[in-house]
Amino acid sequence: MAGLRINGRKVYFSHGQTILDVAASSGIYIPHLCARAGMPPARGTRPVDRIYRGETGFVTEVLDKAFEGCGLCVVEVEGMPVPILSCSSPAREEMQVYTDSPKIREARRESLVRILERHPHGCLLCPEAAGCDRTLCSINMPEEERCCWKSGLCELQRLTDFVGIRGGLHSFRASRQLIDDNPLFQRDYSLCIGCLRCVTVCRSLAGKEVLGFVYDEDGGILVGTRAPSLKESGCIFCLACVEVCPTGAMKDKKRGEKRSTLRRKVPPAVFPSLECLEFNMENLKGVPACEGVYQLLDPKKELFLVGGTDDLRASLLDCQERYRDKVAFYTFEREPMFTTRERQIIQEHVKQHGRLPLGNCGTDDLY
Amino acid sequence: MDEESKEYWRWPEYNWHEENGDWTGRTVTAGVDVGSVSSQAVILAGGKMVACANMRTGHNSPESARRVVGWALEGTGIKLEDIRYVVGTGYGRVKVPFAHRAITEIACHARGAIDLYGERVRTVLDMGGQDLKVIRCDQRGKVSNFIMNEKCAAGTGRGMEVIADILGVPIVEVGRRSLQIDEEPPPVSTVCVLFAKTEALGLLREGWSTEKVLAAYCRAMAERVFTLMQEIGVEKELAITGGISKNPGIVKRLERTLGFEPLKTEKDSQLAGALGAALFAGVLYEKQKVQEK
Repeated sequence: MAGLRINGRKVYFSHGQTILDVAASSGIYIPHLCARAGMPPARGTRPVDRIYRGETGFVTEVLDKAFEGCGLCVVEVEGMPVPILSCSSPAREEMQVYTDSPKIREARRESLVRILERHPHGCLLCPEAAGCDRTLCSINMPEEERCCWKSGLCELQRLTDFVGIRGGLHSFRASRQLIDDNPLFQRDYSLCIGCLRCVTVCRSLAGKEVLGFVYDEDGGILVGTRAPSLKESGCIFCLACVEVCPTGAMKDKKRGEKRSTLRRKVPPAVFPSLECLEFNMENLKGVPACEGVYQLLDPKKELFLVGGTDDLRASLLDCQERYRDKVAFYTFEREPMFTTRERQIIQEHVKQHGRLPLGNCGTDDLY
Repeated sequence: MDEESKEYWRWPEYNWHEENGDWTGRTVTAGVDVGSVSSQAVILAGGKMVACANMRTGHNSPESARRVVGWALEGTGIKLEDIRYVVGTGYGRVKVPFAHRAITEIACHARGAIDLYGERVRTVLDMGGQDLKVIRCDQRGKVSNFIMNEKCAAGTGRGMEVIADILGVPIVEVGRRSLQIDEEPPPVSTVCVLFAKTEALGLLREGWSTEKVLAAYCRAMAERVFTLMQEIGVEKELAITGGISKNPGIVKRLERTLGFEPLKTEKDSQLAGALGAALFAGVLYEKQKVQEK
């Protein structure tokens, strides 16, 4: 097998893999929005003549420009004058890749701002977001400016947490463009960021060409169906597009319904793993004895338990005895309002997993 | 009458224990729920509730846990040291110092609600002192989802205290009096407790009766709570816990909007958290005994 280095670490790859693929399989996270595990890169997709959103047709303005990509997966490669996009750059023997630097971080933030500028993102900037149920806004932000229904489960939101937002981001108000034409899913194009994941996965997984895009007069991307209806476009309703959409633009209408065979083939999205320390006595002794919240993670870095306490060190040392065979990593934050913070973290977990963390009464043996 | 010193927020604090109880030979466990406004303690012997207490948390919050347990144990002959396992649940920056284990109140509320209201509960609405929670659970009380609001006082105990104070109505009468109207008024224009004084005084000046203003508030708060419940979905049966579950002005209006009634209990709905904690304590104590063997 061939080898290259990412951030100084030697990793092996097979011919044909992109740098992003190699990083992902080595557990190194590179942020990406238009690329996604389980499908080829969306970058390079060509526009079509015409797309439809319901009965309305849209015609392309600039026909010959391929999709340039979201720009988030930039990396620096030694010997190359400018950063390159890892989603569509093949891995080469002896490459020296760097996935993080001030220059890279700035480039990612710039790309993200261009995406967020045309997407309702209000809640991402609000200092009172944690603990807010998002039905009443205490800072009177109009609903169209706030985050949509997918808040808490949204990939774009998670990516924004990682990449960070730089100043100068204008607010954006979405006016609903809901298309509700079938019993399985609905589309709201006011939330679409034009990542083209849906177009790509339809082609690569379902082998269909149901979706496509054109450019509007500002060069923005407009995604829609190739024919006036999904059925006429050849849609087989596998809903792989819903699975890969990183925003709230695509929404399942029936929750708990069994997923199609094709949809189940879509691998889970890749996220950065929580920064954490190894759960051993040496590390624990260095934890401050102050108020805060700790998180215990299993060997796969999945959350096992969240705890708020007035003495982090004492509680963690106690946990070391109790959970030594279940926990491999931990992290903590100083926080005087520790019960409140504990509940917020638990709520995020419940929203994503449908149950409390295993160590927080998420198992059956306590009932 | 000195209006300034009248404490409209007062509600009846109490302790209770089984008469002529004999718990020798029975395992005693306890659950303590220290909330932002009120604290409860539930004592179980052999899995059955034999004592409890419900009191205001007060300023010296870390001591509240000790005080509420002490009050529950009063007259029982049981001492704190006799309790085999204590589960505590706290809020903000307070925990129960003598608890063997702390369990999140979300799990405790759902577990306690099943015991108070029966196995058919699938949704628990907890209207607490400083927050609102809607919890979805199964027939055992195991939590599958929840949503909470900690940013807005509308619908919480503290919000109610402000309204009671502004209108000079004891908080325990707010609900009953809000129903003493001929016609349901429109809800107040803003539920924001910050603006309650301006809003309420304005309505009184227009000639609204106190009852009518209370009705307008309770209606607005019930609608606000309903919106929260819709975010997560309500599956029957519904159980309501927390201090405001005792406010018929809010509960009746919620019933109207929901189109059905929540389950009722003969016991004190405010005990749900402490009761759930005490039940967990029993299970954890048994597990500990097995492990020690």
